[in-house]
Amino acid sequence: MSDGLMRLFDISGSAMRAQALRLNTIASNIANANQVSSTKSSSFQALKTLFEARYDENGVCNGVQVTDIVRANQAPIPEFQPQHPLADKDGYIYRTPVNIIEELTESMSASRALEVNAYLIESGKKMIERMLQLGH
Amino acid sequence: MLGNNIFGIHEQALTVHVQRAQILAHNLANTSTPDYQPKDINFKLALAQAQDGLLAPSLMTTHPQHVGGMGCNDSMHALLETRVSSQPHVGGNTVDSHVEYAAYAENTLRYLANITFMNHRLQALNTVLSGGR
Repeated sequence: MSDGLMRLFDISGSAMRAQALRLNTIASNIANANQVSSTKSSSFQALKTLFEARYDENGVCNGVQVTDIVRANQAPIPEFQPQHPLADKDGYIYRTPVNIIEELTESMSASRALEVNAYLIESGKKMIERMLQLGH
Repeated sequence: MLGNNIFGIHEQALTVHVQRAQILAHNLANTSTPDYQPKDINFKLALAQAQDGLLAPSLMTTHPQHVGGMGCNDSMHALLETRVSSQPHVGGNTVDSHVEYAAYAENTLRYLANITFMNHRLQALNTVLSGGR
């Protein structure tokens, strides 16, 4: 395990990895937002990433990790559309309960976090550069 | 002028700055972690400990002549304080990313100033060693 300034890359790198994964799940949620199914159980459920602060074996701060990706257990939205090819015997189709606005704001938050961590890596690089030039 | 410690306090200050950078980066990495509370180092206390040699280097040394490294280690935990947020948060996470960002920028600036001081020290020694030429 690297230490000192090099650990900055571990920390910010872990955050970028986690945020990129979050961005991917959000993209998948939005892509599936208009899915329609004929049963409640087969309806698409939004995926949510779970984050947890990461510490190394000595209890030293070491960034963030994604512990799990879970399905948000929300009830599908029934819609009465008897003419729809996927309608069940009562004439209902089930829309996914994905909240587009929620997903979009979360994607903004994730991409901002990505930017911040990219800046941290850049400035960590500068700090190491200056350290290496000591005495020149 | 030429002692064991030619850089004076700057050497220890640099160690503490690197550790603070790690902690602030950790805070910024956890802006979306539920229940995470940002920590910051008590700089004054950390510097005093570093000067007393209490802030042990964290690189493994298996020989008396090995050089230890810099990093946050066990003795660091006592120096960490939870930062109190200026506003209430929903969801238990109390990281104010703008506060952390500003602290990180300030810390980087102080670190670079430290290096500049050390550079000047080396230049002064260089002048002395070359007989002022």
